[in-house]
Amino acid sequence: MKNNFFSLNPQPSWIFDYETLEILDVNIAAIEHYGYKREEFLKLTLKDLRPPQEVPELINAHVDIKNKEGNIYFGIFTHQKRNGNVIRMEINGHKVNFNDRHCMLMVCQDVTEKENQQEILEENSRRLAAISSIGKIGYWRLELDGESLFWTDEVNKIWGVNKENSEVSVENFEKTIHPDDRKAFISEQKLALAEKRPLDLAHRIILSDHSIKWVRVRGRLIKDENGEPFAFEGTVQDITEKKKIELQLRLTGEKLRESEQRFRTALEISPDGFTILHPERNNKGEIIDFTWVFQNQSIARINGTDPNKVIGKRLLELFPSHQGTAIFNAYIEVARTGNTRVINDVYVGEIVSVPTWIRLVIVPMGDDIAILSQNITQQKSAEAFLKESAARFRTIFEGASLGVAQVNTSTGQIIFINAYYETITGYTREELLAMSFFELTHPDDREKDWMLFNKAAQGEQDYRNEKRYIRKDGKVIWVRIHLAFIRDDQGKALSTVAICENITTQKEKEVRIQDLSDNLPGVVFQYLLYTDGTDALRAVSKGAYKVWGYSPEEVEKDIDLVWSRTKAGGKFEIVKQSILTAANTKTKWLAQYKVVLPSGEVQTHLGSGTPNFLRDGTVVFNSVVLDITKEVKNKELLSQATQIANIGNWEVDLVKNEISWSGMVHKLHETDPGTFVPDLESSISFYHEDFRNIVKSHVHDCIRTGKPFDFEAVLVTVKKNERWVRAIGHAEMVEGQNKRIYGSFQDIHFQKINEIALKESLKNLQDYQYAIDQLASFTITDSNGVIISVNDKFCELSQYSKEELLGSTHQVINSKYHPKDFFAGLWQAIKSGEIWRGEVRNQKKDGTYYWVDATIVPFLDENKKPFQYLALRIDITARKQAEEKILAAYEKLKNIAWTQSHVVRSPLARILGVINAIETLDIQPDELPFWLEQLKSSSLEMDEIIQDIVNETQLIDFKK
Amino acid sequence: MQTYIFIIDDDPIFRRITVKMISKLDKEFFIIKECEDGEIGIKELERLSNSEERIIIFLDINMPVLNGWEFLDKLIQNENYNIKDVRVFIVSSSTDKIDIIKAQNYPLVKQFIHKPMDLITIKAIVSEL
Repeated sequence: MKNNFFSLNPQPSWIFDYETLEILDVNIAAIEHYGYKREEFLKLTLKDLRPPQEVPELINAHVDIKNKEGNIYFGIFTHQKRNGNVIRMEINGHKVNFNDRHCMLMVCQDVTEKENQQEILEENSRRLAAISSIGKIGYWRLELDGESLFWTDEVNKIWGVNKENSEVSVENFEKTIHPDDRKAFISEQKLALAEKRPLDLAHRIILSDHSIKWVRVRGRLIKDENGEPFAFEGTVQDITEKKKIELQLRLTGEKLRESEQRFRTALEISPDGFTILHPERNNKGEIIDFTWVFQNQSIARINGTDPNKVIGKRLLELFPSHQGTAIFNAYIEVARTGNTRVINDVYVGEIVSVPTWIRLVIVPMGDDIAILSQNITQQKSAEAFLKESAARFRTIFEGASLGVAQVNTSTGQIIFINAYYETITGYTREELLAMSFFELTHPDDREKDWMLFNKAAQGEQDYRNEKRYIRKDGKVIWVRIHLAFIRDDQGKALSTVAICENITTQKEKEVRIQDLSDNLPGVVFQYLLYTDGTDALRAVSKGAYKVWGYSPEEVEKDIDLVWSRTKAGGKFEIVKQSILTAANTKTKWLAQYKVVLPSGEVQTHLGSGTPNFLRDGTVVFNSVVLDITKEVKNKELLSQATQIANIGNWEVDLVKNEISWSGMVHKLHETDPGTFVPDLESSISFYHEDFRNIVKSHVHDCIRTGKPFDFEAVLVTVKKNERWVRAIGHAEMVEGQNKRIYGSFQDIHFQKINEIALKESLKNLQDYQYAIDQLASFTITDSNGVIISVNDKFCELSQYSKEELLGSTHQVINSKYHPKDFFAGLWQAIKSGEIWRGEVRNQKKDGTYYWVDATIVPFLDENKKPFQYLALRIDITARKQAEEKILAAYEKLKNIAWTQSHVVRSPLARILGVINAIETLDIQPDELPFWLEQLKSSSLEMDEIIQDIVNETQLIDFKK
Repeated sequence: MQTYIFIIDDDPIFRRITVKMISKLDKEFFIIKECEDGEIGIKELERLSNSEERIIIFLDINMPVLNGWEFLDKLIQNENYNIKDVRVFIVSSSTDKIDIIKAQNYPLVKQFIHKPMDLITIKAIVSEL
């Protein structure tokens, strides 16, 4: 089936004729993946996608294709992109009928990366196997029920037995244990089986050729899920070489020490032999013998004679072998010449029958001679021993594939150094003897080395170190050094013997493995869970930067950096629990969780690790954590997309006149996929009658001319629900004939409803906008009152242009009419978020005033702080002016009333007062003219006032 | 104790008629003070500070220099100059309600008399002494 799912499938996909291998159609993903253009692709056959040498394999894969049906899994093949890059593709396919040809639709997945990962892992495990072989480590396992024993080839190698002719059994194994170690082995084994502690023991084994080897056996119990032990497994390592070195080192050290002590003892012995001899001459006067005159106790101990009994005895009588010896001749010479002679290192064993070395000083004493003798036998034998041990030492020295050197501890001077050192350092022995080891050591390692050396010299700890030397040619080598100290009685280190192994190769391997782990996607590390519940990270690879956002050193120092990221992701407790569970159940740790990196980025991590159990109870997980954010996101998106989109697909086969709907299409029509069989007519009749004609024309156009369609229309479902849908259709034209139309069908009801509602509300909004524009003038200011928007109406009203108003404040229209308090109150209200309303008198550009009914609405931000103010103004100048006129008229009327009361009544009251006086107060006739005069003037005054009032009243404007 | 009658009005005709009416009263003896405006009235009153005298004041509102209201305010401000008995009668040509209501706010003012004032009114005032 070819549809959107084919062309938009993210996996490369194509259709090809499986008889000719011609590619007939190809999707976007394939075009992008392989780099061919569509036209190019369609000219290719499957063979062209393969490197030439792979073509036979391709042919092979299609041999019995005719007999296969359904989904066919072809396997993983090597393909070649247009640019020549080789990729590995995993291929599935199924048969399709395409343009009446026997075709195959293929869906491919690029597994190049996956395979590369696999290869790296395999390479890694090969390396590990190689290392275990180099390390001479074997594995064994003992089933507790039947006591059957299994072990790996490496174990056979260690025991020097042939796989074929050896019988693996506990009994046979135990026989090989050295008798001296058997007891220790059995006791340790018991402890291990009783779970007191894991087995870890170094012991000797006797091989069939009677040679002895040292092995280190480590083992632990394995339990089933009920905690019942069912097997005992472990490793065995050949440590013979190591033991030999240790032993030799110890022996050498001990012997050296012993020799030195003897030497010292010899020195302490005083030269105490003293003898006086008298020469006896023959008749020719020649000295032929000596007689004892005196000998002391000391010499008596050497020659075994009684000092009191030898006096007067003849020398040659007692010690006839003296005759003709160098000593005897020396005696004669001294006696004859009177010259003193010193004879060093004389062996008198033959003479005195006791192996004795002496040193003689012979001095003349008149006729006699005196002999001072020092017994240097012990000294001598010590020397001999020294010589011997030095010789042995040298044998070890020279023959060893190890560097051996002796260094004077106080001066650092190299005393001995063997040929191996020449080999590994590239310096000659002479050059080395002029150097110190400090110079030889890599500068970066010197400090640590010196610290270790000092601690070891003071007896605080053993010296064992891995460090770098710099060769004469500048190359760096790695060495493992063991030091033994030769000490005096006070424990002061006199000299050291250094044993040096060249471990450059191992180190390089370690570095390479580290490199590998650093280059793996994700971070590789050891997670240590201590018995007290604390934890730490070790051997963290460089992936830490990318995965955790910290350097390996940072997280090794502080594991909480990593945990805090996990905590931020909210899954800390679950992750921690999963680790504890893995440790408790001795199963692999596997967890997927979110973390928040220091950068704030959210990632999804997948962690896995295998627990190992150390003797002290510490659990070490060899672990890897991968960043799988992208994968998880893609997965989520895909599932969300399919859930959300509500997309179905449909197809009309115009040849067979059949319509097929996917489940989703049925769902959208609310039809039962089991019973409802759609046809073209009924499909169209599902649309709402308002849309039916347009749908019909789209579909018919597509069928007739192949013109694709894409429309939105309202559907009326079986259950009479109305629903907006989007239908997309394409035609498949073959030689101008439309074979089928197909496409997608999507539920867009909510989008559409929302869209319509949105349009509606937008329309309403526009209406409001229009109405406001017509009615009111408005300005919008920022929070500081600066005008940022203004409508035409306001420009018209204020007589200022938009340009003049924007950027200025309302100060420009202030008419200075309102008191300060008025605006202070306004600002207080709107700053606190309240709407303010009031009547304001403003000033136009030409200086005239106008009144507005102003409403100021603050727009609040998320913190409820105003960030803009909208001021709506309705021009109320006319009303205000009318009000002012009324007020003015009222004021005038009030004035009239007042005038009436005070000014008008004043002369009136006086007139009345005078008349009253005339009537009641017995006015004398001569006074009368005065009062009449008063009456007259008051009347005139009143007349004047009334005329004023009339004039004033005529000025009041009673028009609106 | 003496009884003083103050006539504080800028209208000499009013003052003359009032003096004539007072002189028509029987038996009683009054010392009459004619004042052209409020300020003169205050000065005359000030002379009687801290005395046991009884004082009747006929007070016009509309006057130059210190009008009736201002006179009253000054009087209150100086606590009647510590004169034992001070009674104020406003005598005005005004019939304005605002003036009448305002006068009611002064406890010192015993009566609001509309001009012209007649003999009966004065007699009633004196008889209440």
